Amino acid sequence: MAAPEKISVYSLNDLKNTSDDAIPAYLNSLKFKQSHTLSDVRLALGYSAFLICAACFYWDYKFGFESTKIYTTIAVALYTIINSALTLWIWGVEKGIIYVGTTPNGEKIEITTSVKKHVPVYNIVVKTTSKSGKTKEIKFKREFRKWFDAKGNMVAQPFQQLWASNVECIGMVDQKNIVRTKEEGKKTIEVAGKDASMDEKWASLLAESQPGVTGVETESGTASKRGKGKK
Amino acid sequence: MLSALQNPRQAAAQLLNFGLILSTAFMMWKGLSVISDSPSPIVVVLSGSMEPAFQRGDLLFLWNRNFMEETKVGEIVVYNVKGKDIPIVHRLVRKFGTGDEAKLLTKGDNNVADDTELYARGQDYIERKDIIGSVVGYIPFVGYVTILLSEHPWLKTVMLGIMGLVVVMQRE
Repeated sequence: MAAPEKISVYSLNDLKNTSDDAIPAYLNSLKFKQSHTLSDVRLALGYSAFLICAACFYWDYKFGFESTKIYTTIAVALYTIINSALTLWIWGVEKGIIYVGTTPNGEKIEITTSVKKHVPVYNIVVKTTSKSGKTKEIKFKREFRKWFDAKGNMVAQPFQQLWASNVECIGMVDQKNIVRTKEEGKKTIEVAGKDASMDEKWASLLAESQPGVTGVETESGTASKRGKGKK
Repeated sequence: MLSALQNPRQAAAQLLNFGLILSTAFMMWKGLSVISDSPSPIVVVLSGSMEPAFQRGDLLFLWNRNFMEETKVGEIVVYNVKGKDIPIVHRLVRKFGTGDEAKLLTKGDNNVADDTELYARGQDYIERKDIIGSVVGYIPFVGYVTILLSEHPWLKTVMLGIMGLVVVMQRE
């Protein structure tokens, strides 16, 4: 699964793109079913705009401007509309979503990643929808150096561990990659969906940070402090 | 870039980026054409025949619609001559008659004689339909690049190649 080529570790774009590309490869290897609807719509819009342009170029080249003026006007209008739709789709619907799929357990998962300019940190938002319709949003971030070596090779294991440990529905399928270290828990900011109660939220937070602690009530005070500090 | 070859969707998306840059440029040009009603709404001055108004390399913006009034004597027009593919930028100096049938004569400000020599064999005047637009604005010198490109055609190939490579290599 590791990326086939070395990248420059100083290029944030390369870091993000290589990591983004590794996610579908990893998840699909866990028998996740990837949905390509988003990118397919984008490609369809883009290529139909391009085809209109190509047709316009052809008749302009073949028959000249004057005799094809009406068609050219229509083509220009259509192209403008399709291109705006494409822009809206990329900014309004895709919004940086790099993976949409279904887990082997039937949960829906949607992964959005982003980087801030000149900050080598991978920001991840995972939205999961269980079969009963409960949505849950998990946000976490991690430095790219955790899974890129100094030469710019991507190392698959820590990357997979990051996903398996932080995202429940991935961990369920990929148990061997779950690591419960202090650090993994500390940096996780979990934002439970609106359906989840506060207790559930604290419970999951505690489960992430302190394996073995069972008493939710007794520990909830420290958990809430920690939660505030992180935000 | 190589990883794109293993993933058809990503390869298609990258190709699309390149295609959309080209097609958007072309459609913007065509949009300008449609709005100004001119097959070539932006032209570059190739000769010094309109000096001191325009120099070689000036970029001219054309408008080819007659909303309120007809094209008048004194306007600088760009016209095509049958059988020649290079449009000419000269001033309209005589006009006989009105409407589409008006007989028009042009002359370069810097030329000694009028344009009858430049017209096709046996042609003594041009008509409104020969004109592809009147000059409504210009930017000095920026068009010089295209003069260089047309005088050294290999530069075009080099530039297209570089542009293509840059787009394909980068993902953003």
